[in-house]
Amino acid sequence: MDNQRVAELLGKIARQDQAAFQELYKAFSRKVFAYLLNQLKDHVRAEEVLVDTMYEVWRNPARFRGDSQFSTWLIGIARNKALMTYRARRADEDHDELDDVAETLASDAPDGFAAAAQKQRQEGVQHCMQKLSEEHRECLHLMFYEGCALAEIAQLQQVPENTVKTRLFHARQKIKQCLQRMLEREGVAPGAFK
Amino acid sequence: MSRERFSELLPWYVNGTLSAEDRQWVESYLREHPTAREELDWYASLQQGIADSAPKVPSTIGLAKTMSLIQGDRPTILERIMGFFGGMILTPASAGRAGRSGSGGGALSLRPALAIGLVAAVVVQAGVIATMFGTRGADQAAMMRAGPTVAAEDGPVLKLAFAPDAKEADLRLLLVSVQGTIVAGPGQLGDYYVRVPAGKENDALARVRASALVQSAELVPGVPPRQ
Repeated sequence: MDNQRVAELLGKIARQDQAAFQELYKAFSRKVFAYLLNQLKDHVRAEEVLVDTMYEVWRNPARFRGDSQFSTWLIGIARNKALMTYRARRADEDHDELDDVAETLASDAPDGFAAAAQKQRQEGVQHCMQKLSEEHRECLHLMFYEGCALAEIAQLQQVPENTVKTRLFHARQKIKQCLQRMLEREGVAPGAFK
Repeated sequence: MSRERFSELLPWYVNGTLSAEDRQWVESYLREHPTAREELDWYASLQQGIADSAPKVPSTIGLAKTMSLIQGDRPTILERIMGFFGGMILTPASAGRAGRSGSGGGALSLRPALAIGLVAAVVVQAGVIATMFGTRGADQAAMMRAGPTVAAEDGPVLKLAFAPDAKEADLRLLLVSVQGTIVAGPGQLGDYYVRVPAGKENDALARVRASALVQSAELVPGVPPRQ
């Protein structure tokens, strides 16, 4: 749905048009939910924040001024609400082991990518994404699921663009490390990722 | 340097957000360095994997809860009536001032008290009506005579339907502006009957019709009898 159609629907929502709201809701709910589930790792909580986010649109449709893609704006609201609601969950116990080794990983040897690509196509991405820190997971999600540009991610994460680049670099390293471990456990040559 | 730039640009090339100039540069690099294509494939695979791992949920997820919130957001007719009368005792502004001054406890307690009072009045009125119907067989003629005396002020009234999002304070101001008093309603369709001073019905009608708070307005000969 393009921003022009979004603007039309928001105009109707400002006049309390519930049908327009439902159309907008159905167009964007899955994206917002996917983002929230990726961050919160909890279906129920993700749905709660989704409802809260969309309700905010109903109450203040004029807040969207068309400066960005509507989905990016919406995710910005969802992000803030998730942070406010579940700030206590930010400590992530799962990715500690990867943090320890991330900085010492080998460089991206070209021969490692082909095998990793094959593996992650099958099953690895979801598992390894969950091992990342919130910031890194969010960065990859915004980049490859939402298709956000560098500036948009920086705006959403409220950090400089260079920080996004750094996060992306480390996220990529960690994902590769995670996939490498999976390959090794399954008997693939350990030297594949030198 | 070229290799570093390639690595930096490649993810954005894959997600389609690179400028045309950078895109051309990446494609040129890929032509010159065929082995770099493996890294491109890796990112493309990662992107596909992320897309595939997205939750398979219907687009209506959470919609019912959101609609419930939205519909709960609208004040009910009862809330509007309570607000209308409550506002005569204590306006929100005065409540805010009282609260900030630290002496608002007593003033703020007027609203619940008023609500209880109104409920009590409704209960008493319902009792009276029930008594009337209960004795209908015994003294029907007397009761029939008693009924119309309640609506002693016969004559034309305004039949109004208010906008769903109309605020109580705005409604009150509108009624004050036409010296109107609610004499009946809401009906099944949410209509209210408002009496205005005799001879001013048409002026009042024009005024309320011009208001965005009013969805429909008409002058009717009188309050319809109860069904």
